[in-house]
Order: sequence, then C-alpha cells, then structure tokens
Amino acid sequence: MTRLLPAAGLASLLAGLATPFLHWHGVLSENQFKQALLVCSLAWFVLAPLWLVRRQRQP
Amino acid sequence: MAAEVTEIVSRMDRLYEYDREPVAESKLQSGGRFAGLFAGEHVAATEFVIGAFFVLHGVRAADLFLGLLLGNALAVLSWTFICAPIAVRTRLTLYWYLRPILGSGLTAAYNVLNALLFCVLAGAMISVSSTAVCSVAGLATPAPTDVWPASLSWVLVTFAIGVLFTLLAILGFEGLSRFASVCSPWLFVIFVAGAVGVMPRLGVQPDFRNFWQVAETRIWNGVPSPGQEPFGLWHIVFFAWFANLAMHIGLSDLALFRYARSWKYGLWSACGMYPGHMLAWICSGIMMAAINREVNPGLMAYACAGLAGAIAVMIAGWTTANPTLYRAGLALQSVTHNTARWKVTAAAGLATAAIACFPVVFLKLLDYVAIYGLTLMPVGAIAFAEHWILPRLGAEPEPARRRGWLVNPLALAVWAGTLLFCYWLPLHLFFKWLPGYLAATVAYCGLRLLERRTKA
Repeated sequence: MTRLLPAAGLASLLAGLATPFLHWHGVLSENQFKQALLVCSLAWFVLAPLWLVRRQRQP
Repeated sequence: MAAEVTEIVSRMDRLYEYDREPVAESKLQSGGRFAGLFAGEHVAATEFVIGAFFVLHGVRAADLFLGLLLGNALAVLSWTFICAPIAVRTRLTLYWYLRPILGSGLTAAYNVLNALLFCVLAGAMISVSSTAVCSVAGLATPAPTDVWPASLSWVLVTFAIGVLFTLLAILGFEGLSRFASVCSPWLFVIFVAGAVGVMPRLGVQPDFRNFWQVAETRIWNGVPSPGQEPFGLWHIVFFAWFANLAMHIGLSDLALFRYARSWKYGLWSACGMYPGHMLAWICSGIMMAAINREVNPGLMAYACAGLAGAIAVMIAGWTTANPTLYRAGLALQSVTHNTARWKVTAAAGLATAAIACFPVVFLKLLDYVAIYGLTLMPVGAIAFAEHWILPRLGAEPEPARRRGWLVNPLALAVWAGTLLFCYWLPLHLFFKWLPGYLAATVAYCGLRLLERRTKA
C-alpha cells in the first residue's frame, strides 16, 4: 500500500497532464478533456493526502 | 516611548526565539529538498495574473521568451551569489542577522512593514480566488481599469472568501500547510493542461510546427490592450529578476538557505524559477490569448481547463494567502499588548479581506510586486554592505549592538533616502530598484566610514 499510493497518485497527475494532449490530437472533445481533467484532479486529491498521512505515521 | 519599543522588541524576540541560534550541522538539508521547496513555492495564484498581464502589455513573443530566460537566470544568480553565501556563513534568519546591525527597534519596524506588505499581497490572492467563484456562478467581475469595487456581489463574494481564508489560517495552519504541499504539482499540471487544451482553439497544429507563428500573431503580438503601457524585453528581464526581490537581494531567504550545506545550493532556486516563473507565466499568457484578453483569472482558468481550472485558481489563492496571513498575524502580534495570536490574525485577515474587495490590488499586481521589492530592498543593501564590504574597509561589525542603538540612524537615513531617491529617479518603476540598490550600498558604506572618522 505504501508503494501503491504514491504510484497511483503520480499516475493520476500524469493522466491529467495527458488529457489536453488527447484533446489536441482529436481523441477527446473539449468537454471530455475538461471532465477527464477534473476526475484526475479529484483522484490526486484523494490519493496524495492519504499518502501524506501514511508517510507521517511511519516510524 | 523607548520603554514601549523595548517591550515590543522583547515580545518579538520571544516569538522568534526558536531560530535565535545558528543552525547546527546535523540539521542541514540536502539539495533535493531545496529543489522541492522552490518548485512548490513558485507555482502560485500570482502566476495566473502575471503571465496574462504580459499579453495585455503587448510583449512580443521573442522578447518574452528571451526576457524570462535572462531575468530568471539573474534571479537564480542573485540567490546563489548574494543570499545563499551570507546564509551559509551566518546560519541565521534575516531577523536575527539584522538585529545587531539595524538595532532592535528598526528590525521590529522592518518586520511589521513586511507583514503589512504581505497582507496586501494576500488581498490580491483573495481577489484572484474571487474571480474564480464569480466566473463559475456567473456574477460580475471588475473591469481592467477598475479601482473601486464595481458590484455588491463582488464585494460579498470577495469578503466571504477572505473570511474563509482567515478562519483556515487561524484554525489549522500547520495541517493545512501540509495539505497545501500536495497542491503544487497539481497546480503545475493545471497550468500546462489549460494552455495545451486551448492550442486547437488558437489554431496550433498538433505537431507544433506553427506554434511560433501563432505565438507572434495571436498571443504575444506586440500590441498592448487599450489602457495598458507597452512592455519590451527589458521590462520582462527586470520583472522576472525582481519578482522575488525581497527574497534574494532583500535576503528574506536567509531563513531558508541557513539550512544549506553550500552557497551553491542557491542554484536549486532554478527549480522554482523556470517551471513557475517561466513555464507557468507562458501558460497563463496562452490561456489569456484564448479568451480574447479578458482580465479575469478565474474565467480564464474555467474557460481553458474547466471546473478543475476554476478550483485551481481558488486553491492557488488560498495556498498563497494562508501562510501570508499566518506570518502577518505572527509579526503583528508582537506589537499588540498581550493579544492572543488568533485575534491578531483575525483582525489582519479581516483587514486583508476588505483590501481584497478593491480590484486595483490584483489589477495592478505587477506594479505592486515592484513596489513591495523596492520598499524592502535598501535593507538588503545595508546587510550586504555590512557582510562583505565594510569589514574590508576596516569598519567595526554590528554597529547597533556595539553602540546600544535601538534604531541605527545611519541605516534609517539610507533606507528613507533610497526610497526618496527611487521615487524621484526618472526611470520606469521596474528599473528603479537597481540604481537604488547601488546607491543604498554606496551611501551606507560612506556614512559608516564618515561616522567612524568623526568618532576618531
């Protein structure tokens, strides 16, 4: 879990970064890009604080 | 009066007691930690406004890119060759380093002035956040030339956000600061996503081949918006250089670099400057062009990155305002008689929220950043002269401590004189600080040597 959380958090950030490029290349519409960016953002804000809390609890 | 000042100073000393001693060898930090700190600190709400304003001021694309490269390099070099070497040699915060030089009274005044200037900056951040809420809710936002609040809805939303930020600063600064640290990488993603997401709207091909042509004709086309003065290469160079003047030339970042193993760690500031003060400014400029140069950071982010963009503006405003309000409360607490810190922070926060209702604080952000750095710069010049120049000229160190001065009159004269000199200097506001800094250094050395000769 300690390795999974940072990896998943990083993946959500990278996915968020990828969405505008997918829109630029015509894979996603503008609305889909904005929704996907919002979902990736929410995922980051769930995963990153969890990771932070777990890291602080570690001795 | 003197007794009152002494009492204020002793309260301020107690407040900063924990960092009175030089940092121990075992507490020194790695370079990577400095890279992370700088990267996190320099992607903030101001970036949504600054890059956008460069477009309004009609900067040309080549001037922008070259100016940002050069100006940020000068900022990095200022941290490396001016701030970090003094920090590593003294291992003290600016507060404790200045005390024996300026005198405890003048140091306290410097601290309070810094807090007040920070409050106005926090006010600008609250205004920026307010544009996000107003844009999503479809409420009116100020026009680019507005000085006074234009609508009741703007005042109500802005003041409510100010109260919310103040409550958060009072209730849990440390926990929220930890949470704020997870916002920085995400904010950076939003800047890039917003800019890349509008590339099709601006007509940039996916293979990037016509980017420069679009940049020169549709984004940084050299045509200022009505009512905005034109900016050229040197405006950009100097702005990028002095955007953090109080931190590097002004030596506020002694607090940070006293934990560095070597003065070379100043170079790590590039990790904050180039992503934050170059890439993020370029991204916000691209977003600004995509919304037809409308001065509304909230609308800009909302239109370019959707709801995530509007949330980013709100969170960026809060993460910048939160530590600012906390520090202002801390500094102002020492000049109030036995008042609880939460009450002082609440008062400072409410005053800041009121300031934020005046759109001029964020619409004139570029000028305010210049004035903020300019006001504190002479103290950096005095500290530099005391550390590097005067010992070589045979002057005794720590003049205020040796003479028992509450206020070093020479430093006060140089500080006030430099500000007057800069005020009268027939140069653009952005260019005034450099001759001012040189004049302050020379004048302070001259006065110190003159005083020594008179005494002898």
